[in-house]
Amino acid sequence: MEKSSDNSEDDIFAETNETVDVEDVDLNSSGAGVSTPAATAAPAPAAEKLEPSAPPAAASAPPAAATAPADPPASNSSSGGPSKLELPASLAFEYLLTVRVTKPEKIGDGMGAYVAYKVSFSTTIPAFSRPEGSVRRRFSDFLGLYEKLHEKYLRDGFVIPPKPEKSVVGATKVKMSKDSVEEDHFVERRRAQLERFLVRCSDHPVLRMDPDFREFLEHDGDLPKSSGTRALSGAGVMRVFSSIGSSVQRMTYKMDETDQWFEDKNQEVHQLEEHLHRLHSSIEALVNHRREYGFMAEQFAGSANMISSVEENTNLSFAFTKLAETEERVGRLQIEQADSDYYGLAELLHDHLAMLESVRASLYERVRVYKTWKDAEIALTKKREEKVRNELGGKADKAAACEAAARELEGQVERGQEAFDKISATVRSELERYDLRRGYELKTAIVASLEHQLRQQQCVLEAWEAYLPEAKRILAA
Amino acid sequence: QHHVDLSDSRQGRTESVDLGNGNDLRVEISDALSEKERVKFTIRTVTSLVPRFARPEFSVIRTHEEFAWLADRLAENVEYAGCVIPPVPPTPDFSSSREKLARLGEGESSMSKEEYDKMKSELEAEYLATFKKTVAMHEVFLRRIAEHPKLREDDIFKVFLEFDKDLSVRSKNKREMVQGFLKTGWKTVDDAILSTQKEKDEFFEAQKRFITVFYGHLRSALSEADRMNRHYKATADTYIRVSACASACTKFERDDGLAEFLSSFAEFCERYRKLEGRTASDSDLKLADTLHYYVSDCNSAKDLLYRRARALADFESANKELEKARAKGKAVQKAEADQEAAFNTFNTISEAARAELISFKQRWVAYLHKNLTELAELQIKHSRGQVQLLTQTLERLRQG
Repeated sequence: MEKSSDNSEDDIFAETNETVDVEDVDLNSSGAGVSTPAATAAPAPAAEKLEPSAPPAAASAPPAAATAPADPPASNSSSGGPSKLELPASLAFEYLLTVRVTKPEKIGDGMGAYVAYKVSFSTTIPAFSRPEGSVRRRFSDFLGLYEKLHEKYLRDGFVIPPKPEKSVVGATKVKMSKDSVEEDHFVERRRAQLERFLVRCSDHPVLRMDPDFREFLEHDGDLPKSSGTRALSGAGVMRVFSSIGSSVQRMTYKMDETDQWFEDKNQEVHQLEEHLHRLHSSIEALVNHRREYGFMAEQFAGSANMISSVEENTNLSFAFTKLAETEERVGRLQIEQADSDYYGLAELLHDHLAMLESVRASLYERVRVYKTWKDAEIALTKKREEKVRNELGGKADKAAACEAAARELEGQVERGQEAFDKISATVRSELERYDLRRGYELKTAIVASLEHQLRQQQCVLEAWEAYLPEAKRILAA
Repeated sequence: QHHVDLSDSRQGRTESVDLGNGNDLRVEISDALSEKERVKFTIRTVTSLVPRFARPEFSVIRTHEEFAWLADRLAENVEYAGCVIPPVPPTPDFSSSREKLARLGEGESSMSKEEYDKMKSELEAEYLATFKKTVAMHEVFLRRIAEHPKLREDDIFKVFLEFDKDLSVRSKNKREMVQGFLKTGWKTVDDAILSTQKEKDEFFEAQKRFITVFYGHLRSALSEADRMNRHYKATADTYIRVSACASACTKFERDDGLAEFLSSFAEFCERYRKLEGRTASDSDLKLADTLHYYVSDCNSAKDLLYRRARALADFESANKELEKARAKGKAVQKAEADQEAAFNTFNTISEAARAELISFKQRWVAYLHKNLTELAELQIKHSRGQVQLLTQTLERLRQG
């Protein structure tokens, strides 16, 4: 994977990030789209050592926002302000937190080798011990963080950002290969996933404040090894069993849904998954064809050069050389476009499909809480009946015991209902947040892709315009 | 059955570099009909050479086999041994279009009606383009014969153009197939002769070198150009899927802004793919097809060099026979006559070949000039269109 020399980025991370990551655009716009002074001022001071990312896509967002200083907060409405692409106000924060994952580096050799990533952050959140910094983390560290967050917050209905994927084959290849880690597609893909994971955490109102998350970003030196994340560990095996159990459970318990909003939402999630899946595979197909096209164009250029070397007619020979140059340039541009769309669009959609799994998990937690509540209600009813039977049967002590138990169950029912209301509110707000986020990210990614394509296409145009006079010269004296 | 309207593509469809014979014999394919397994071409001739031809204007219907038969007859004729015989046009082949159509039918249930209709009409356009191409290739073949000073006088050519009944050319029977194999067998022998023959003539030495090396590179370039264009076209067609998926997403999207956005994006994909499709097919036409034709023509030039090489070999063996005869003192006169005949044959071919090869080169420089220029111009035109569409779409998506 070669570095693109087209984008002149003075970003210090530029050499490992060849394509615009959608999250970069997020971070920039979240400052530009909102009118709170803290947020708009933020990009400048935080930018001292850590420039918040790639110019090309970002360059288009600020000007759009700049033309509309008094933008109404509901910038997402279809009656639309001057730009439809701003981050919705409800997704922005008073305090900024920017995270990046860069510079993958292979440590060690053979099967014990691993890849370490540089994790950097920049923030105005007071709880952090310093405004910026960076640490080195490895893949298992990320998984460890995920497990902690998952355990702490899922049961309250929060949508946890999806776990970065394990891929035994890919990882082993990297361990064993002698190639430069930075150029590897697998490594790049993983790096992007890890970054997206952290960025999603940092964009979540509750997760971003979590102490484990903070420690992950701030703690200098290695984190305690989370051996529980290794695939064949005991904890790993247990996890597999428990996840099987829960999906079976999901199928067997039928909740009596009284809230129309949730009724509709369940339907929607299902549809959304289906359609996103199709969109994802069509984009993947597009990317693959385009990549093949680019590659073949480069091959063709090779042959055209060979033709030129044998051709005796000098003008014709030159024309073939120039044709080779042109097709090679076009091929290169197409490959770059394919790569950009792969990381910017295809991988994004893949990530959203994973997010929908998390969404489902949250919805399911709510069902579990509901079940607990209703189970308590049923137990209460039974206890009361038992008490009445005892009273009628003249067993005063047993009746008294039932009374006591019933009172306790009443408390449980009350708490159960409270928990259900609370989790319903949380899940609902989480899903609404997620919808806004999804819409924003999709729009931004598509616009970034088209902008990239526009630049590429302008280069293609230039290449052919340069070739035309050469073709015409074939018949010159 | 497919009746094809060729009127729109007639302008500049086929190239004829005027060899100075004026317009006294104009041949064109005015109509074409595709039925089942074969294509029937209607060939219309307009000529002022009336005593030779019965009427000034007339038409006949021919199948591809009859074209191939004509090509074979010309190639066999020793009179034309010194000429570059125009290569026989490729057999009309719609199998890939048919396969794609079949595959589309199989996948029909898994896509929306809209998507299916779009892919179907795209495939039909492809089929039509293939059809027009085969017509063009057959026409070019005839035109080159009509413009060649020697070949145009050929009687079999006249019969081909005029005889209004079926030529009763059955497809190759066993004997002819064996002969065909022998011919290719000869080719490898020819290759050996060509490479080992001592060539005193610098011109032909250069030609030999050029043709053999050049030919190899040309063929790789050609196969790569084909694959390149195929993937390019596939890229363009995939936009249909993307467009359909984006459209489908809008249907249940609660957020109006997002729905509108996706709808605009879907529309963009549809319009963009048409531009990309056209770019791909122009690249196919101007680049790949040109190379295809160049390869065929180089083949014909190669055949010419083979024939000359064979004649030279015959001459050299006649020389040896003459020496033997003189040594033995027997049948010297016959040997002398043979040697002289062989020499004459060789000489005629060689001289004719020299002129032919020079004009071959001239023709190709002109042809490449035309096609590469047109290629660049079309790519520029489409690129501009794409840039414009992208710019407009971005504005629309940003502003609403």
